[in-house]
Amino acid sequence: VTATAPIAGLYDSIERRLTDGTIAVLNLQAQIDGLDRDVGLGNATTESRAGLIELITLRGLILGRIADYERAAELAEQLVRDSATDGAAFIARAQTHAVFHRFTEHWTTSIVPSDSRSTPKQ
Amino acid sequence: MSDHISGPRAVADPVTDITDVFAFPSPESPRDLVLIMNVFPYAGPSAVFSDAVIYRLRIRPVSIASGKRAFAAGADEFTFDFTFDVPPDPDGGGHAVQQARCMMPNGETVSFRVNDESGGIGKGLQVFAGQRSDPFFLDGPMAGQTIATRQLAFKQVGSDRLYGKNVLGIVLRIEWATFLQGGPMFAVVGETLTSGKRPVRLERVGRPEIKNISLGAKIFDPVNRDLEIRELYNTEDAFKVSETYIGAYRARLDANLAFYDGLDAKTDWPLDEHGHHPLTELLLADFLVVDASKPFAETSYFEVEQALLEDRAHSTCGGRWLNEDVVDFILTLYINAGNGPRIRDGVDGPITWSSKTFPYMAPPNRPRDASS
Repeated sequence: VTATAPIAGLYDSIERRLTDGTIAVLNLQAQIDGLDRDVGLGNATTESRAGLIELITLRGLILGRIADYERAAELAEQLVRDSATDGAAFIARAQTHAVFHRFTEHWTTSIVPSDSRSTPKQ
Repeated sequence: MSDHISGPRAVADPVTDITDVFAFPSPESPRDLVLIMNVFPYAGPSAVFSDAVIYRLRIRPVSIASGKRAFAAGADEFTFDFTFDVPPDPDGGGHAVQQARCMMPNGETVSFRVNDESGGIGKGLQVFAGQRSDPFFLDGPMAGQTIATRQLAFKQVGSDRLYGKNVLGIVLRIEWATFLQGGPMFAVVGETLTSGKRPVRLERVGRPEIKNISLGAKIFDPVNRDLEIRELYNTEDAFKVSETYIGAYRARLDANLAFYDGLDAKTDWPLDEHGHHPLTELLLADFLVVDASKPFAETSYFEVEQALLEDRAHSTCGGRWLNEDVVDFILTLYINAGNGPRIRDGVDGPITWSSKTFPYMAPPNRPRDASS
């Protein structure tokens, strides 16, 4: 721990506006871990579970991990089974289908009941 | 939730999402004032502070405006800026060790290591930054249900989605007479800003539950029923809210506060001739007000403001202590103004209480803690 003399232009040396990649990946992992815990405990809302699927898919994209895409797809299938009247679940699954361009499968399985609505929650 | 997830940008970038701000005289020494800002709701174990963000605590002396039931914040401002490095490769234990700096109002800096409980020490100052247990507690789903059904939905025993969750906390303890001028009443705001020569404000927080419980619901707003107003509100200077949008904030607060007042089927906060709620202007001056000359108190949130409304001298330090059940307080204030029974949300504490010794907030929860 050191107390130093005044540093002129402390911010001048911090001109970049984007978080460093190392931190971004650590924090993406932290977001996934934070949500994953709730999903594991059965406490998560459909919105949270859809968010987790999106984050895992993103990690798969950034790190090139097929296992992440597969896990996201599994979670999305489970979400549709658990929330069959919530449009958000179908959207989450459609996004996992889109990763590998499984558009035909998407159109044949993503028929949302007409009375269901995606209801964003605060 | 207190200020967790307070808009689309906060959802997209939780490392900039301020969850809470606290300000209280130190329980250890009356010479010291403690300020805390938490970010990153639901932080997993690998969470670190961003190197592209300035985490700022702003303090101004504040007094009671003459002839008005309002505060007058002074022009002098004292800021403490926290910045963080990119952590090098994780150490043997697999955790990234991050270095931090606190820039004081005089431009000097104190360097310290994140998650080091003894923190950084300068003359008259001690700082800590790192992962801690989230001290906030609330039955969030039932708060939402109350708005959806327009009836109080809280249960005797509620459910807290923040139970066992962690945040990234920044703790600042200062000898207030050394660092601050004016006072002893001070206004405190926490902010996250982009770094660089022209920092841009991303979030700001003063009081708890202004954005979510007070401003969040759109359905009662007679002016902007489809506007995510919290995103605009986050970018405002707490000490100088822009004239451009203040009418929108005022309309939203008037409407939502009137909704809460009506939940017990009686009016405790009659609107004025312009339709304004008596609390609106006070809440729009959105900063914690703490009297550093008063001793530490566990339940003193909003007491300075209440004294102002009642034309009496305040008797406590005000501010906000970590363990106070502010949600029950806010619900009671909004719904019956203290003229009826205490309104409870059914959640009376976090997984672990904060302590009265530095760095005050409880250590982070392990993954299994929330389930046990």
